[in-house]
Amino acid sequence: MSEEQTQRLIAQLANDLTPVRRVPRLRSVASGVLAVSAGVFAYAVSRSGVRADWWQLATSDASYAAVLVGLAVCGIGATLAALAGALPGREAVFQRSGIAAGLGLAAAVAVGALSLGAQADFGGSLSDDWMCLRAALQLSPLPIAAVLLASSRGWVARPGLTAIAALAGAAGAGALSIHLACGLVGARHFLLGHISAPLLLALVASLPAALLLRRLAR
Amino acid sequence: MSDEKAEAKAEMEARWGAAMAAAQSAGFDGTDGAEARAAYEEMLGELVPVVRRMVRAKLFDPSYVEDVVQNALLSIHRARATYRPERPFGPWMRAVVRNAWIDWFRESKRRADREVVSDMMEKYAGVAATPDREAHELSPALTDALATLPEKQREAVVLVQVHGLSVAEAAAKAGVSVGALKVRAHRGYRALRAHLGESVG
Repeated sequence: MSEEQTQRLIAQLANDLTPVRRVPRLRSVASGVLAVSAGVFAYAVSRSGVRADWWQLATSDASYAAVLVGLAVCGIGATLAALAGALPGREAVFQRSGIAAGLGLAAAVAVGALSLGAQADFGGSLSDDWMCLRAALQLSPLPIAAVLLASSRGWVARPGLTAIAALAGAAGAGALSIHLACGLVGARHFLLGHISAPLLLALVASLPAALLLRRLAR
Repeated sequence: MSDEKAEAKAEMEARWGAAMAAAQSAGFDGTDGAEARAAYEEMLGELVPVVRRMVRAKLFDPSYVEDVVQNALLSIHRARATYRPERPFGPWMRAVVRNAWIDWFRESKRRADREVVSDMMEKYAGVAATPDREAHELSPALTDALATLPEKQREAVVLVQVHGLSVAEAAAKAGVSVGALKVRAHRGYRALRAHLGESVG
C-alpha cells in the first residue's frame, strides 16, 4: 500500500466524520458499576445479615482476614481493570488495578492454604462449601452485565483479559457478602466456598464472556 | 529530550487533542462541521509521520509499513469516542496505534497460515484454487490429509481452498456464520499444515 493511498484514506475518514457520544470518565463509569455491585452486596447482606463476630474474626483469624481483604481488593481492583482496559491511554490503571486484584486473591489463597491444618476447622462439609460458592456465583450476573456493558462502550483491545477482570471483580463482590454472612469458620471452607468464586468464574466463563464482549463492542 | 522539544511536542499534542474533541462533536454545535472536518484531516495528516515512526520501530519488513499505518489511522478514527479532552492526547493515540499494530500482527499470522496452506494446496494439487476446481484433481497426499480432518473443518477448507469460494460464500453454503467458518477453516489449516508438514518431512 502506498503513501498516496494513506492520504486518500485520511481524506475519506475526514469526509465520513460523524459526531460520536464521548465515553464517560473512568471515575464516573467505575462509580456506576461499583454502585451496582454495592447494591447487590447490600441486597445479599439485607437478606442474610452479617455474622455478629465478623470484626472479631477479622482481627484474630488470619485466613478470615486475608479472604476478606482479598475479596474486597479483587472486587474493586478487577472491576476497575475491566473498565480501564476498554479505555486507550489508561493502561497504567488497567495494570495496577489488575495486579492489585491478582495479588489480593493470591495472598488470600496463600494465607488460607498456610492456615490449613494449623487451626481447628469448623468449616463444615463439602456441601456447605458448594452452597456458599453457589450463592456467591448467583450474586454475580448483574454486576457482570454492568461491567461488560460499560466496557463494551469503550475500545476493547484485550477482550480476554478484560473479561477475566470483569468476571473476577463481579464474583469478588458477591463472594465478599457471602464471606461476611457465612456462619462457618475454617481455612478450607474459606478457600473452597468463598475465595474460589472469582477464580472459578474467571476460569470457566472467560471465553464466552470475551466473545460476548467482542460482540457487544462492535 | 530538550525542554524546547518537549514543549513543542506538548503543544502539538494539545492541538491534536483539541482537533479530536472538535471532531467528536462535528455538526452537533449548529455548524455543518466543515471546520472540524478540516482540522481533523489536518490532524490525521500530522499524525502519519508519528505513526509511521512507531510502526517502523516494530516492523522488520518495510513493505508492510503503510498497511499498518492505515490500520492505525482507521483505529484512531473508530476509537475517537474514547478520547477525553481533559486527558493527554499522546498516550491515548499511542495506545490505539499499539493495539492496531497487535491486531494487524495477529491477522497477518492468520493470513500467513492461509497462504502457506494455499501454497501447499497448489503444490499438491498442481494448480491454484479456482472456483471450478474439482476434488479429483487433488493429489493422493492432499486427499489423505483432507480425510484426516473432522468433517466440518474439511468442509470449510475444501469450500475456500479447493472450490475457491470467498469466506462469506463458503459460510452461506455451509449454513454457518462467517465467524464460525473462519474458525473451522483456521483449525483445518493448522491441522493440514501439521499433517502435510509431517508427510513432506
